[in-house]
Amino acid sequence: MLTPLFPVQTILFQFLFLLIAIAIEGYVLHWKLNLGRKNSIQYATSINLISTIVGWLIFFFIEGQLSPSLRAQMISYIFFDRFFNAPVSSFSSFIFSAGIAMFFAAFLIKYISLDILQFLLQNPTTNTNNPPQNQSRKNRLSKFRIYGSANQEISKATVVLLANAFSHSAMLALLIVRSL
Amino acid sequence: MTHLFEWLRKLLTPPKAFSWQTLILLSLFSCILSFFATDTVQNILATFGWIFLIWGVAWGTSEKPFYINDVCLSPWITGALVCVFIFGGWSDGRPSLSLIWWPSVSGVIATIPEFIEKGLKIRIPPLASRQKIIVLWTSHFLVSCWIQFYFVVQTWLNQYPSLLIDNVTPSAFVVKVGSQPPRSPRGALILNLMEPQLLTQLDNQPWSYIERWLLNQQQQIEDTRKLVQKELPQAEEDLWWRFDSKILSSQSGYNLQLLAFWQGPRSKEEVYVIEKLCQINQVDLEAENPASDPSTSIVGTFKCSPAGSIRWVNSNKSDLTP
Repeated sequence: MLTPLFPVQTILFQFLFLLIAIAIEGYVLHWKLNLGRKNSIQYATSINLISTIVGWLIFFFIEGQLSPSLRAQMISYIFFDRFFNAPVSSFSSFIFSAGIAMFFAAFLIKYISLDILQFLLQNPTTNTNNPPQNQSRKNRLSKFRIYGSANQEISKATVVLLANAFSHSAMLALLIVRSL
Repeated sequence: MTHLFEWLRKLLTPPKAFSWQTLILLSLFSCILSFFATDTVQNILATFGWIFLIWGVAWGTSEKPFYINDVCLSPWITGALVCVFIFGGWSDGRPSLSLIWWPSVSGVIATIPEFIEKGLKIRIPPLASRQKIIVLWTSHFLVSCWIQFYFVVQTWLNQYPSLLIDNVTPSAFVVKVGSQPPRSPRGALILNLMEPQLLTQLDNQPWSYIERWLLNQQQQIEDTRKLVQKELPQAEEDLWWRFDSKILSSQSGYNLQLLAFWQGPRSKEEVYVIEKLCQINQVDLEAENPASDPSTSIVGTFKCSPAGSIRWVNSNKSDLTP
């Protein structure tokens, strides 16, 4: 018996969010880390796809572990956009904390994937690669970047956090526009 | 018709000994042989047939690739065959593993050439193609996740069949596609199934027995309901159905009102209720059969109308008069 409910909106929204996030994060990576336009877009694509996949895997795992009443609440939210038999305030605070948890989880996954990717693709941050063309940029942005390998790691984390913040804000803005 | 045969024959004749056409012919050969074999040998021959077919199709489609708009489709065909081989067919009703894994397997197959260099040796792919491999694998796995989500929703609907009655328009995640035959919620099903049970208990019984039964009405109906629910396949949504019954007197006997409240996931704040009305009427048999025993001449008849459609009520209102 084929179910007549198709997750069309899920797929479309996720595709749209991925495109926007990849564009924004690619731009931020290129701007702050000077990775070259094509490279930074490719990095952004990979880390966003990886974090989305990890998110799905966590969702499938949690869905299997839920108690019937919690699963019913989740089904109610997914099918009808509301919770049932419950005070509204407790669940909106739940959604708020879930949003914050997702933001930080996404940041962590993206940072780790960026590290692994750079190792696999053997492309160190171009600070050490292209000194001549970045002289003026370095002087301007030196308060963001302190030379030395240890502090380059710090700046990469900040950049990923910034990129993540921008893309999630764009997604939040889209969600707010949608619910208007 | 002969054109088709000619084209097939031209396609399948091997130009040299070791080519993909030989593999496909070998797999056909193994399949035909497996028809004549028994258990283990049949399995082995069928497996070999599949392996040859997959290998042949993979080789053939890589030599003559299918393209639609610059997107290469041949790994998808090979991937489909591999999935059917490993996971069984595309049956719906249960989560179809082969459909879920199909995009991922196709993605992996598409990147296999990067891992093999001339002379059929395995290598770590060069730097230039690694990025492409990662993007390919992750995007195809994401499509697999989407398909898996569809099957998760289907599993939910198996446990909560009454949700299809409701309005899914406000959902941000799913959409109802196509028109379906009108379904009745599980509560209506249970109420309707209680009718034959109650019929055997109450129809054509002496009136005194019916009056005694009605004194204990709540408990009797509860027991009947439990019996009916045990017969039906288990569904998680039974936790949110609440059943109730009311007796109201009418001029020729009693009206029994069976109610089913749905308090689970729903699209509105209010609760919906399904009610089923049954009449227990007093019939005096003495008029037709004067010789019968007076104490058993007054019997009751039991008649029900089918369960009504859903009605939304405010959940605070506990008194529901029809």
